Amino acid sequence: MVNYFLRFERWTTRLSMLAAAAMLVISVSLGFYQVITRFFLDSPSTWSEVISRSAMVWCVLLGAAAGFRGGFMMSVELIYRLLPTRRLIWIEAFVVLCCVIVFLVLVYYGTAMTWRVRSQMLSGLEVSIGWVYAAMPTGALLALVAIMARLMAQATGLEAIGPVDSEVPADETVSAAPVASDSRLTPNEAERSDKS
Amino acid sequence: MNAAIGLSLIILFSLGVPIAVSIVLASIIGIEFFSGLPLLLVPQQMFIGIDNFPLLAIPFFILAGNLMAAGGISQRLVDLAKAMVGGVQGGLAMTCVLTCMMFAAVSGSSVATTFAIGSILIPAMVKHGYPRPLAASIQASSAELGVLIPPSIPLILYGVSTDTSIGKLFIAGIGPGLLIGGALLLFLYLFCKVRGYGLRDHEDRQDLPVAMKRAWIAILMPVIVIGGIYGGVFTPTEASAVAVVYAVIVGGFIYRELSFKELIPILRSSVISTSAIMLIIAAASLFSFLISRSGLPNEIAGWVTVVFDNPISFLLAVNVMFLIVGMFIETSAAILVLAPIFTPIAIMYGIDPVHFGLIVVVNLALGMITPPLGVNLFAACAVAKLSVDQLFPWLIRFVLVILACLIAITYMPWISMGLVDLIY
Repeated sequence: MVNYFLRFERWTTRLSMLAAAAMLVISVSLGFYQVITRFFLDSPSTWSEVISRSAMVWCVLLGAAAGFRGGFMMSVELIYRLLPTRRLIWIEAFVVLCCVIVFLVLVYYGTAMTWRVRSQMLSGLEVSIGWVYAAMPTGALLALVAIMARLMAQATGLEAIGPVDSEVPADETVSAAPVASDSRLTPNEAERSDKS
Repeated sequence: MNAAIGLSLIILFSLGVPIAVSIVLASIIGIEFFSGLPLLLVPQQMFIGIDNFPLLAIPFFILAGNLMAAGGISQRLVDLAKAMVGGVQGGLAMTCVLTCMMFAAVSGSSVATTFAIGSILIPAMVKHGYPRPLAASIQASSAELGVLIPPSIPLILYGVSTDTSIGKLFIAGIGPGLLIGGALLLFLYLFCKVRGYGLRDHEDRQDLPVAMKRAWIAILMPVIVIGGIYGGVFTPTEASAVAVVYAVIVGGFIYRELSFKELIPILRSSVISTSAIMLIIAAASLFSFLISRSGLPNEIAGWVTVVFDNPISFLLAVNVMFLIVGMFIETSAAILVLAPIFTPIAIMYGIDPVHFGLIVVVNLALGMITPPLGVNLFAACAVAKLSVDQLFPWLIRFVLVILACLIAITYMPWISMGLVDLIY
């Protein structure tokens, strides 16, 4: 059961990450396009800014799933160093509960909001702003699946518990591979390995 | 309502709930149980918070920085810095500061700087006989320059949340960046002389012209970005998009160290960083809406103006407050929530909002290298394979150096504003 869910989640999170990356590329390209149209073609683009912004909203919300799944969301991690490891699963469960409440609010009221603004158009375009607002419930739903999977994997002992250094994913690519693998250590693990 | 939100925030933060989730959940509690407002506000205000063109500069600069780092720029900058200052005793430590200053000019994040430069220079310093905790402390404190020297993510956030010109903020960041960088260089030079570290630092250096030839294209990027913004050629957001394209061209076609296959992990990590920071921005926007609606900022302003009768004592109080906040709260959340409350008060005291922005950011940047929540400390410790508490005895010296600079930046506005007045 857990394994099926985890497999399902791996698929949804990967898909949403792929879409988020595509949105980032679109957003950047339109930002650059805007410079080109103004300088080289001398006719500033009217639609690129609003699409660039909308693509970024989608990128942020779709990227949330992978961020929550890997524990890359910034938090105050002091408590992870104060409690013994076996108690940490309760902290994780509480954190997940908080996330679930927030995501459910975003799914429910985000959908309501999307429905409410459906007749509003994006400025300068004949497209409903609802398409952008829809990122909110969609992203929250995918993040909900991801965070449940994280808790399940930790509760069944498939994955280690604990925080990850906040911006580490940004730097796996930046630096040499051995550094990236070390930096994935949680602070409490790092301390323990030093004392031993 | 404010008390309920504040209390829930403290509890949620301390239980390790992600900052973005804590802020939204505290706001939900406030809205649902302590006000007559509809919960529809939650998605609406969060949406408004991130649907903002100037803010796009943040993800774009993150992406540009990641691309540049993977494209072979880090090693080139290290070589260049080593060629410039590496010749004296303690030169390797000074190289670290100088490289971070240059890397800061292509990246907006100090944590990214720590990983990119630290993974090269911390092992090098250890090999040259510097104690490992000292090497990590040097790296953590020099990387702080990443948020001062433009482009800077915290300065963009300050500009967006207080309606201050991001272009002016970027210019104003140069002076304090050079001051702190210079102070660190001087301190390390003297410190290594006294303690006798780094006697062999002059070995294996490249000649300056050779190193310059290898690195000049990377150094050119900040010139294009900054020059473009000041010349009015493009907005900071457009400049960041140009930086991304420049980074792809340099890494992919000129240095040829960036392959198509590497783009996927770079995009992936950039998306995660973007999402992490922008969700905090979305949450803070909801939070600020609730706080300002409740009239709390006016109450605080009224109270502050009664207690502090001149700008000098006000600035001192602000410094102490932001230092303490910076120790516990993540930088972007602190700026988004506090800057809109305190900047109008600062203006009442006759302080330029641009200067005030620099004071806020230098304070919070110092918070990045002070426990318990110092992102730079964690990053440097991860690279150096140390635990945070091993760093403290060494770190305190650097904190004091930067603290001295902070006082200078606070009470000598020309350090930040001189260049701004010259240009605008």
